[in-house]
Amino acid sequence: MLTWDDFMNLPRIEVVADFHCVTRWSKQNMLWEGVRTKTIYDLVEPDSYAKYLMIHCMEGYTTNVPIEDFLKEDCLFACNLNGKPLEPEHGFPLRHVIPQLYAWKSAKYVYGVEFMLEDEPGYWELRGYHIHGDPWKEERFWDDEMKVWEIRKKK
Amino acid sequence: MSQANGKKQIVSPTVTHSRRIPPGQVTTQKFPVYDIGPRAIFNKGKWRFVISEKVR
Repeated sequence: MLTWDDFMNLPRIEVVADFHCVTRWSKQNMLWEGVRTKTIYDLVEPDSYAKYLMIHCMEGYTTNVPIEDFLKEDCLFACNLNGKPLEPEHGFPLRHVIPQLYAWKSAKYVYGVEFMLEDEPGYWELRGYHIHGDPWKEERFWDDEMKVWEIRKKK
Repeated sequence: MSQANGKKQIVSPTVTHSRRIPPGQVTTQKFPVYDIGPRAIFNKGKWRFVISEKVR
């Protein structure tokens, strides 16, 4: 568990990235600043069998991410955008930013991560959004509606 | 990777991608906002970053 001061004292990086929303808009050249997700991973050394994460947010939102995406070089927990602290509507105090997936995976108001052995759907994934979300493959929604309902029933 | 203001700066592959705008997307200068409910209230003294594991 890390306090806010602990988190702010971790090494920082800047990432220049584009941002692609499943609702079909893209914003280019965003400058994020924060802590690399790999830094958090290295702090905890999770079970080597853990292949997925659930990102947890203060207002109850969740989203799932494969570890191989979470550990990409341009993935971070951002506290600043374009040289200024995040605005409340964009996720202050902390936003998970994973530019190579659709923006619903870049969760706002993050307070934690949960390493998982198996993949599980988060908030939007339970409501039909794709389990992965690669913009170049247009992974916007589940192809198989029945699969969504099976998962929702289990919940 | 480069250094800017003493910090490492990484240029995401999203910027250098051969097809920079993914299929079905259009660029915008705005940064639209979508929230699922009331915004969280941040309390610096109480805020904790929690790391956990789910093992079956």
